[in-house]
Amino acid sequence: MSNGKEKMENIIDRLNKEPSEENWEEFAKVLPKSGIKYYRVVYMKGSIKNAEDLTKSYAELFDEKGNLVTKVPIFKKGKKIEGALYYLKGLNNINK
Amino acid sequence: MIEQNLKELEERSIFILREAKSKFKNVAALWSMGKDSTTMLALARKAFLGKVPFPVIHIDNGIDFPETYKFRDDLTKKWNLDLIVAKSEIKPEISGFSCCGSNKTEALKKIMKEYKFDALIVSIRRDEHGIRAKERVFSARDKNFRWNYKNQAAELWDDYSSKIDTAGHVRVHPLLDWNEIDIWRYIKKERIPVNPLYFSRNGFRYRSLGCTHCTVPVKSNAKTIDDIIKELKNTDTEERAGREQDKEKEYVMQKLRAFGYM
Repeated sequence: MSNGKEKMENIIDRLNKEPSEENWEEFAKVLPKSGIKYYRVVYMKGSIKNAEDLTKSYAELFDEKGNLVTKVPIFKKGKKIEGALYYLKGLNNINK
Repeated sequence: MIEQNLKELEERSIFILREAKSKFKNVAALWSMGKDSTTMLALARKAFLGKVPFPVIHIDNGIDFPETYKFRDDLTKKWNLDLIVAKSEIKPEISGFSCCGSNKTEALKKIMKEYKFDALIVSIRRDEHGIRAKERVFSARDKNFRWNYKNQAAELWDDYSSKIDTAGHVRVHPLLDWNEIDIWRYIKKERIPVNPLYFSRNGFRYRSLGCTHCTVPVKSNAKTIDDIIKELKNTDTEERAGREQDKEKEYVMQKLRAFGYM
């Protein structure tokens, strides 16, 4: 495994474990060179009742051939939960 | 004929924007990065010699589309906009009515209070939704942001009154008389940049844009502005078919607007 890929995977692991601002910032830095081109937001089925349900939503990230590369959360957790989709700027949406 | 119609709409909107800027002390505009509010900013640039002379507010709950964020940042730089990002907190009760009501309206209230804006330009159109058809070009909100749609002055023969006595603020609607196809024809004519989500990808496109939570795409193969115009001439699907808050209980949009929603 190349160092770049290993680094990317470590960053995504950290982000999935703890979607803090620092981890999102780190992810945003490596995203442009990752080969990831598309994203799809996956929400829980039914209406979302509480903040805990929100944290179960995620974004699937795909490369230019449409292969699923990884999944990331869509929230930033600090003192409160905030949406974090702006960190995926530059990717194209394939929700439908 | 179409050219003439667009020219008349443009002139009316420019008049309303200039009237708003001259009659109110502290004006701001809402910008969702959608086609309507971006067209309004293009009109403002025309009305005020190439510069939007008021701040533009994006109510950001963090879960708008990534394309929307990129479009916002690119156009802010290109048009030198004075952008205010009003961060809205995601609250436990988040779906549909609660999402737009609590999250977006509360964030707007906070920013209006902080900056003391007395007029807010909002790019709604009468043909979008039944309740929006009840709006006036200059429309009062009380100090709690409530809209009393049962008690509004008539604006007959385009006789607008910007002298409104209210303890709150005034909403200004320069695009009220436009319809969806007018907007797309004007975007084409003026080469106004638009969010790429409006164009078809894999047989689907977004016709009306909100946050990722409440917006779904509609079936479409329209990949260019000409395709969109052609599609709109033949469609019988309503524009906001992909917006969840419009599908909830009866009169939910009326309730949202009465409570201060855009």
